[in-house]
Amino acid sequence: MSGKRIQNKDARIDRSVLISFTFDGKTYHGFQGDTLASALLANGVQQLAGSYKYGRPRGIMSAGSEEPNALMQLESGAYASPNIKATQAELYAGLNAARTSGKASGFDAKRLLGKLGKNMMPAGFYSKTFKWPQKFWPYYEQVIRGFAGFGTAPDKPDAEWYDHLHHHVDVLVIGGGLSGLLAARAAAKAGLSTLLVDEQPELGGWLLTERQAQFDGASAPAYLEKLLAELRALPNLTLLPRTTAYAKLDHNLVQAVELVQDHLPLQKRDSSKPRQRMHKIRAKQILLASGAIERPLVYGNNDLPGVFTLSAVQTYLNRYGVLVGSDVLLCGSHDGIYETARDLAAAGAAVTVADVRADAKVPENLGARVIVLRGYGIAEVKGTDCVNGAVLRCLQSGKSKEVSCDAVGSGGGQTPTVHLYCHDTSRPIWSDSAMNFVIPDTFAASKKGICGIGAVTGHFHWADCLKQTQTAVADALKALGKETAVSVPDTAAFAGNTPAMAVRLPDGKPEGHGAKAFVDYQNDVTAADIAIAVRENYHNIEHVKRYTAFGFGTDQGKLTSVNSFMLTAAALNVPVSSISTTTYRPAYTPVSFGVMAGSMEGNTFAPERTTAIHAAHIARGAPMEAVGQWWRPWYFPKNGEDIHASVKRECTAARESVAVMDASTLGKIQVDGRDAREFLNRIYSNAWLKLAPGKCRYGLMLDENGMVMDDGVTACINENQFHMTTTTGGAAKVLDWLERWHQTEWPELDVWFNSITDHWATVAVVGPKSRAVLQKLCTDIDFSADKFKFMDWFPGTVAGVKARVFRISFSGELAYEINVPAGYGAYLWDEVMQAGEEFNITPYGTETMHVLRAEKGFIIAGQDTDGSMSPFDLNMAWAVGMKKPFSFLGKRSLARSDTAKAGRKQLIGLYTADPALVLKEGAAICERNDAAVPAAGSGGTPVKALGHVTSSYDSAILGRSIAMAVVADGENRKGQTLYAYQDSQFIPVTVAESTVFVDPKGERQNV
Amino acid sequence: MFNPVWKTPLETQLKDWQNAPNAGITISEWPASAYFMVRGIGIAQSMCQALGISSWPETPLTAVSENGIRVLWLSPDEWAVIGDFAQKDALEAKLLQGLGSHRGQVVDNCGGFTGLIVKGKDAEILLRHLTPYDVEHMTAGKTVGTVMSQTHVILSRLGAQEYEIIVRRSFADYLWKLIGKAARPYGLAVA
Repeated sequence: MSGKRIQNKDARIDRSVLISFTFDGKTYHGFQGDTLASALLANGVQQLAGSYKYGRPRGIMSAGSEEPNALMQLESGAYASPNIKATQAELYAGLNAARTSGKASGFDAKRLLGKLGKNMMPAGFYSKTFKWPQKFWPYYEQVIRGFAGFGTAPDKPDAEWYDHLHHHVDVLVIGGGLSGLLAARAAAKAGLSTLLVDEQPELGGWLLTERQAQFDGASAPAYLEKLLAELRALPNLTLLPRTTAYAKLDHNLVQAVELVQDHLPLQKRDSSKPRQRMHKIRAKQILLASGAIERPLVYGNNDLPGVFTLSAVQTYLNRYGVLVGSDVLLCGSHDGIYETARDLAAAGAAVTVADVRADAKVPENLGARVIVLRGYGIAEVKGTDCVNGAVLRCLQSGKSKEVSCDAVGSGGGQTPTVHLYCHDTSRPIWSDSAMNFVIPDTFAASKKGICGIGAVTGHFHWADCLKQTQTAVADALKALGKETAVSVPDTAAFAGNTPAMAVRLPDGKPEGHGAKAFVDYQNDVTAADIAIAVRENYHNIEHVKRYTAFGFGTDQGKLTSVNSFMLTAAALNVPVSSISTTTYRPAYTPVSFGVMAGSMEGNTFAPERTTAIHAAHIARGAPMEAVGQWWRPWYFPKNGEDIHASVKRECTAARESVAVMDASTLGKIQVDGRDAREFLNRIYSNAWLKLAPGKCRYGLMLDENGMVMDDGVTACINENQFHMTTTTGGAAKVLDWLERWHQTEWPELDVWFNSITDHWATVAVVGPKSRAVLQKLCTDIDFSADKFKFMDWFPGTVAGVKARVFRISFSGELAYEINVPAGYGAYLWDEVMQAGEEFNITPYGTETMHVLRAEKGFIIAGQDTDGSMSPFDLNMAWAVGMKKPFSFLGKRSLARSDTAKAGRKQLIGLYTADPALVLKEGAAICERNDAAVPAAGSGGTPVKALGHVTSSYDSAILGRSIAMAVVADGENRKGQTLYAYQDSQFIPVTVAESTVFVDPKGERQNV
Repeated sequence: MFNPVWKTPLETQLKDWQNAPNAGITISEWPASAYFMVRGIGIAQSMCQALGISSWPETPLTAVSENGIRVLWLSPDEWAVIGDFAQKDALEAKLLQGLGSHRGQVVDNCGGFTGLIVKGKDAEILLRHLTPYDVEHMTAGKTVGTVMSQTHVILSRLGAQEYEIIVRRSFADYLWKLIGKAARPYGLAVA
């Protein structure tokens, strides 16, 4: 016999709403208000998982987020969610759930292996067994991984979306049980902005289960209803059910996930709302009312389907109207066993109570069908796939007694849910009276900004718990400037038996010889494994955890880690307070990747910065390339061209007629001040003191190590103003760099910086016909060769817009860069295209830009340099002013022995023997072609590389491939044959005389 | 013969937006505007004189709006000055006059930024989706530099249900996409 639904008028389910759902392909029915777990139990489904290591049958253990076994795959395709706890999944019409481990029936290889090998797979089994030979591990791993794991990751893009919401409140209450609700009421009534989050769909916590205690003379459901009505009317209180606070981070930032639509049938989900929402809550004061979780006892076969925690038995009965068995065995060390027995008996079940306390006073009126055995514990539960009996053992005499039962509930006390208080890696404190790890129970003793209230502080009985809440909340509110009395309901003081300490119930056998007694269900860790770990010298609790694997997994040991701490202490024969706990880390419960990402997905995964001309590039069908955060056109294909044909055509246009590029993404910084020139002289390696207004100069920026970090052309606007350009990706770094040196080292210099990257749209017009295009657009600048020279700039009016025109070139051709305020960027681009039409002006992208500059041997900082290239390594001594009167950044380092030594890696040009072959960027350069290259991971001796290819292209103008590479002692290798290694082949290459492949004399640009 | 056309960064995006019915949020973009970054030390008095305004914001997170221009405090030595696009050159001349011989700079950045005016009953919660800044406690008139996801913005509260977001041109499209996503539960209309 297994679970069934009973008539229970106080149950929190709506019997008028019948819901059909499927589990493992079979259709079942439940009610509105059910969880998947309560509905499955009501339908008699017990075995719904197979254990991790031994493949043992498992069922539902608990009724909350501590559940270790009932991990479900919910829905499929674009709605698939793996490893959802059945105890937390709300039932909805059409819900489609499936088990994630084990088999309902038929042959189960893991279960068979687990049975056969049950005594041969102790703690450390895998690391002890699969060590030899080492090279076989990849094969072992494949097989082991096949056995491991639970649910399946979705194989389709998510159909739903997620967002984040920030809160700044006075008081955040975490937990919607009685303590939390009262605290929220007090805070809100005192006028504080208050937010309450609770992981369950319904607020109330244990009040939803409690049926015996009275509050202000009312039953728990009646009192709760009245209290919630009052709370909902408070304007400065926000209540967020279905919201789990899963992390408490620095500065009192709490992150909580709200399951906005997970409880709705798929077809009823509103696409204008997120599936889940992450709340990022910054509160002045956190009141942690996270409650406590029942700690089960440890005994033989305590993992059989039909074994529950005591509080789960009571919760399924009172909250969901589900009786987990008709003949229930309860065993525990506190009076919760009697409360549960009374509720079960009233619902018609036969109950056997085994109280481990021989001297307990048995309460009256338990009911006719309740048998109490004092001084007994469970030695072993009997059954194969489910519970069908148990062997009890008298703890004093050791005498055994068999009882029949179809469900078992055990409780060893409450474990406070201390996680969020300890997310800063601190540990909870041991309390003898609570017999568990707790957090401080006074505001004064609590950490700044967070204070525990209720059961989390170790006060488990109602009256005691309410008294603690009253005092702590009043003190917390007082600290926020609100002196107010905190009202709590009247309730009877606890008058029962003192709880006893119990963890492992003895079976009379040495540990490891009797039936398996589990301390961690999800990782199949037994009491014997803890004993083995200690015997094998793992004495620190963090080591015991990692050797046995207790406390890992999707439940994070919420149910049973404390049992592991206690058993470790027992094995070491020390008090558990000296063992302490493992580290509590976020997340408290699993968080979906989707809700973590929020809006950081799709086209807002990261900023896609666009220029003012972007729409024109898209309209021309240019594929885009990410350059830093910028989205730049890569090439402009025409008539179905591929990238090679397109780039060849674009290059030819630039070399033979005219081409045009959107250069707006280059970083631009306006530098002002009387000492601007002096500042540039220090920050650049070359000389700047004599650059006249109207002139431009290329500059190299070195870091403190003397290595090239950025480069660009800077124009002198007037004596006290410069227009600096940087690389596209380096703009922000360079601005920071300038500010840093000014603010920390040279504050006496009168110099100011501002980013003007976004202000200017820049159109580069390139090629022999560029002058003619400019002349059509601008009449107030004299473009003649002797008036407007290379590296000059002029202000003027281009297409009716005030512009800065620079005659600079990154291609070696006659070229102009027109800068206009970006609002005119799109307009200017269109005007240039129109003016150039008669010359067949050709737009080009980043790929052609790279080819054109490589043909001229121009470097790209970050591609041909990698933070280890000095100007000399790049053959750019001409850009280093060693004689400047004031030092410049990196100068001293250039003289260091390693930087100045011969034979460093230097930038060289390469020609392949086969002109049609384009080398791969990154290919290693080797001295010989007869070395045996070892296979990756084989451990063979690596072949020494001299360097690698940094830039490599097919050059249209040369009709062959060209490449640049950084090679050890490169400048002394001109004419040598070296070998580039790619695709498992050595490709012969010749070192060129220079990296300038086209027009070494610069005749093309000086026209 | 030339007829220059100024395009604001989000002109096309706003034009193409399909307004939601019963939108809780209404957004409009600044028209073309004069936008200067001013940096300097001890310039308050001379700036007031040159611009004909009675105060220059020296208190952090404040702004001054007077005589057709707005001055936003950005950092102890940096301000944004926003005015009418048609008066841009005149404003620049006044700013340079205000700077005079003080240490500092005046930088034309009219192409570099745009502003969005966000109004409506759901304007506040929209911003709370976008920025970690404490929007709930922001008073009208306050101006802060903060982030929205991965872009820097200057956020001002203009009124009970009215805010302004200033963003760099190249990040404007990214911000617009973020707004479009965050506004889904509330409905967004373009004014």
